[in-house]
Amino acid sequence: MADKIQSVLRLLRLYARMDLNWVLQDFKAALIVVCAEIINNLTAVSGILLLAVRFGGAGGLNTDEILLMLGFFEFADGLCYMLFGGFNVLHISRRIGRGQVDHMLIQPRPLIVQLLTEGFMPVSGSGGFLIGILLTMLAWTRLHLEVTLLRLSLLLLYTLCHTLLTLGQSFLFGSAAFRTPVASEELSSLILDLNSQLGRFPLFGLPRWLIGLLCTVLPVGLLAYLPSLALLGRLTGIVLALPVCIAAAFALAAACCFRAGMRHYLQYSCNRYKGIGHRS
Amino acid sequence: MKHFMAWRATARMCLKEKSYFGLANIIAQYLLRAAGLGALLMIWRSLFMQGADMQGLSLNQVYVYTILSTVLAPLLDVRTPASGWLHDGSVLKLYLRPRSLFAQLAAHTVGGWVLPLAILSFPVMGIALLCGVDLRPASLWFLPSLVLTVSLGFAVDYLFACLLIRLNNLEWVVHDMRQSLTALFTGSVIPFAALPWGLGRFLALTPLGSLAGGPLSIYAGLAEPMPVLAAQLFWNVVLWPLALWRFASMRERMVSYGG
Repeated sequence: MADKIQSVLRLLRLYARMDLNWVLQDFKAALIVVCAEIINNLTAVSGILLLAVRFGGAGGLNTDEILLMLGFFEFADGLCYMLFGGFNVLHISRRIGRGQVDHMLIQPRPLIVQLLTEGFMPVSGSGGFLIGILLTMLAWTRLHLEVTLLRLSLLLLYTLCHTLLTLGQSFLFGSAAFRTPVASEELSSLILDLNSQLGRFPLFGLPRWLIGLLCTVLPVGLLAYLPSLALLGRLTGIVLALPVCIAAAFALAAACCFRAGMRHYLQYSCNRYKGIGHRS
Repeated sequence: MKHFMAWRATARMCLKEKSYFGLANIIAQYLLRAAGLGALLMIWRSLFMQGADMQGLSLNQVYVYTILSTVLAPLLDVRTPASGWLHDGSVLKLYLRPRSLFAQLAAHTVGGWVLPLAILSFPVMGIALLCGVDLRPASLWFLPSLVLTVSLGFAVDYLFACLLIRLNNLEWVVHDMRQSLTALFTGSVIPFAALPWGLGRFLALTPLGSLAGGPLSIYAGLAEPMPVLAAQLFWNVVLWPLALWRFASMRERMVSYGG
């Protein structure tokens, strides 16, 4: 076990160095990528934030509470992107649908270790994560929230849930690409886009059945809205455990589907590359 | 007539190409957009329900604005295949055909509008009417405004293609940056009239602000038609020559990965 952990850490270090090398080798391109990512993240939160500023809040939250929700989303999503954004690990249906799992199977490392490590981009992919930290700290200060062990534990727990939910959904739906590679190649991207689009919205004011749907089957409400309510101390009891349960369920379902898909892939494969290197 | 037939055949080819990724992908894409529209409508509803001071905006106006921004999305934010084809090398085939580059790109773009208009726009309009949203335009000046928006959209798209060539094919960076900039600065998501600090009045005068925000504001009765049309006309006159000049000069710099 210790060997495996060491091996994972060694690979993470290696991918971090490769990411840094890319920045050092082509500084101009890296600067453009990082700036673009910062602009993307700032504009993504600006829409709902500007509405909140103009109307003194939105969806049952005041402006600072909206800022906390958006900050948490950027922080957790940025962390997920920083850890798994590289080499399309997060967009796994692309790897599967393009027949690139073959490339992974010939590596002298278990598949799980590769998936855990090769998406790590601590330099070029950290824009969203850093902006998320800044926004969360700013909101935290403006709301005069006390830094307690419980709050910090909830912050970490819900960040983990956010990562598991994102990965779980991407792998669950992305596993369809094992059977229908061309049609499902972009399914993970579509799910991630949906999360990114709806995960930043406060759900207050929606019909109860819709809130229920958005907190279970399509769990965009668990990505930032519910965690921010918990951090604000507005949730108590069993509801606090909902993100953990749903994240665990998605992770489990994704693992089962991915395994089943792999069994199919090992039998039929997916050959989409032509001799000259182009993809059909 | 011969030119029109060739143009129509190209548009039809593009329509077929849109179904390349299969039914699952198409349905998921449109469900995603419908979900986005639903979320935004719910936000507006909750704002009105919580009794926020909407400063002159009526719920029907913001509903019409939001629904129309989804219904007319492909026309309000024109995306030719230029950027993608520059990246994967397909742009070369356009130079081998006996038609002008811009006409071919335009034909492909218009062909790509058919599917979203048929699958998403008409059903959304039908549902909105059934739900009692009054979709009648506040002014018919929105029609010339829409034409100017489409024209300006092509110019802006060619300028983004030039940026892509200049940045040595950082396609995803340019794509993502454009996606987020257009969402906020064109007024396609939030009406300029709903922005704080008078930001909307400033944005409406910018080239990006003359895209979606123009016709939508006129349609929903959130802006006077003449200043909007004047700004759109001005940016068309400025940006078209600029786009043609930049594209011609950037042609020598084109590099593609292929594959």
